[in-house]
Amino acid sequence: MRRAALTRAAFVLVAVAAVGAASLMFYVGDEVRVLRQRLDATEARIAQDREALRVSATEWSYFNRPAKLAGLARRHLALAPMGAQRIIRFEDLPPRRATPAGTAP
Amino acid sequence: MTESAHQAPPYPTIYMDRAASAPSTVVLAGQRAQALEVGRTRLLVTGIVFALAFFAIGWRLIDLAVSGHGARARLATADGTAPATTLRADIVDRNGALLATSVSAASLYADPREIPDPRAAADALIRVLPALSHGELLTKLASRRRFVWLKRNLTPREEYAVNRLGIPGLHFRRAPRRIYPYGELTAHAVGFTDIDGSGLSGIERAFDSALRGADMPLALSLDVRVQHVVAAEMAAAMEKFDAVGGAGLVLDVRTGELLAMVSLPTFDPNRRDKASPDALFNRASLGVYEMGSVFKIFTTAMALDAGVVDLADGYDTSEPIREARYTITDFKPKKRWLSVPEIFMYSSNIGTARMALKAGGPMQRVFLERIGLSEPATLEIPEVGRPMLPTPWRRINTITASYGQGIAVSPLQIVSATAAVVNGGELHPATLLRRADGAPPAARRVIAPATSRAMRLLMRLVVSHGTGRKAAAPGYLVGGKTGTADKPMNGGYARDKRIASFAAAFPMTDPRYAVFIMLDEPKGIKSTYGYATGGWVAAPVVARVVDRIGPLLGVEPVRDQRGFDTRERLLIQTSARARQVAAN
Repeated sequence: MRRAALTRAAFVLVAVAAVGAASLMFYVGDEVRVLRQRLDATEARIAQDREALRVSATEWSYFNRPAKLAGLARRHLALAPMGAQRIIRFEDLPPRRATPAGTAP
Repeated sequence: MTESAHQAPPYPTIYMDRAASAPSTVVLAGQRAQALEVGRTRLLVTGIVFALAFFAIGWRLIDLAVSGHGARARLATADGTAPATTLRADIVDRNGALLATSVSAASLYADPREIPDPRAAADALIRVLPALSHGELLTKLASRRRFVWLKRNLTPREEYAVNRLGIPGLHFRRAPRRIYPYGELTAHAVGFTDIDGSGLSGIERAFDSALRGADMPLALSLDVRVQHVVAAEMAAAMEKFDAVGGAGLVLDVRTGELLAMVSLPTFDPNRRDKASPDALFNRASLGVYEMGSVFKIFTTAMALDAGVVDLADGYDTSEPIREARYTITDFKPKKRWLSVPEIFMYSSNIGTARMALKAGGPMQRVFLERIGLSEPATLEIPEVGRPMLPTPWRRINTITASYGQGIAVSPLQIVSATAAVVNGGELHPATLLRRADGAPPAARRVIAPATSRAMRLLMRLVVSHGTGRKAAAPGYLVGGKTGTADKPMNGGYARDKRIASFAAAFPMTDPRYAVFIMLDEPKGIKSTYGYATGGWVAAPVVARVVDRIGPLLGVEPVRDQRGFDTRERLLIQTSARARQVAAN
């Protein structure tokens, strides 16, 4: 008699475990499906952003053509090309005149 | 029959408990009972093993479901090994400026049968794509075909605008498209591809297969800023002197890297169907020209290096040289004894020819080969010109080659050889690829360091006191040599068509960059007194180029130029010698 009861208990246990495992499987499978969808969407977005970056980099280079920049600088800036006479060594700078403390130089 | 009934039964004998009325318990005994016991034990063991296995699987399932570890691992790998782009790799300059790139571009096509109102569709399309013709668009949209191209390679903005119209029957097809953001600036070096993305010229062709598979951009040695300065200054000079073309190169004398390679006229690789064959031709590396007096750099270096002459020697240049049916004269005759420095700074053909004759034809040929002037340069791109040498090499060829006539080489060869003369005497093969930091460049010694030092003095003399004074860029101690060559024509030479050039390097104390500027068929103008020589045409371009690229490239200006300008010292030596000769 005890043996039969044990068998029944084992059967119930196995059945519960099987149902549990099955629902767990379903749950996990569903989770995976959702995650995969999100992954695909993210990958698509990455590809799109990469493409947009390429286009932006291309445009950036196009707008930075030296000839165009030189023209813009001539038209809008009061700057001149830096010649050799504008480059000196640090030690060639004239020594700073001593100023009384607290006054503007 | 009865006999057979008493035979042993084929099944195990079951001994009934005779005491009981019904056979309730079966008792096994002996060997058979033992066998059954073994079987039962085995069954138990197998059961336990299976139970363990299922337990392990169950545990793993719980682990996966609860921790979500597996999913994250999958995400991580998906991010790390993102599908490599199938686009062709970019080409960038030495600072990373994008010279060639691929973007996936949309092309607009229509299925006219799906379009409900062709006229309204054409009206709407012409508003967002004003470059199209309305009539043509209407004919296409009203046709009975199933497929018509409306516009190839739209910009993303145009694509968006067309999409926003929401017209049914308009569709896009995406395909990679090669774009050259800097357009005509680097057209000859970078080259271009055909519509299928196969390289047809320049770097695009030389590295075609490498660019296809690669993800990393290919870094060139070019610097778009330097390239722009050279191109802009040359274009200005070309216009001023009404030249038909030109070539300009800037080379790092320590590594052989080309920072600029300009060939004018140029073309836009994005619209190369509109380019003329003349614009497609690479004058900087493919074209070979008789360069004229810049060759005196190499003749003089050879003579000094071999000890044929030294700086204190000289020649009488008052009489022209007569050889075969030719008469060799000087452009601006001094009609007196000239020292070697004077021969160089006044660009005397007679004096240089005498030096070459003393050295002899065989030595001249060996030297030209050693310094890379008689073999095609080894640049990466396929457009490399083969020099044209006189065959057979007679005495007259030794004379004319000494001052750069009767021998045609490419501007690329001149700039490489000039760099070798000034950099201490080592020839680095010119390259269009950026050298990795610290990698020692390939080098071949062509002249002794002392000869290189002497040549730097002589080249500086040309700019400080000789024919190349217009090449002076204050602070950068430019040295160089002018060249003016008559262009060969119909077996002789054209009187009014010439190549004006200037080969330079700076700063002469410790040269960093070699510059070569060449203009094809410049015409003399009033402000140059009708001259269209290298000194009047190409030297000023060199001065402006050096003045602009020096600060860009971080070359420190030389404070005390006079310390290097040793004309007095040289001339005192040589004139002393001259007096001595005159006294004899």
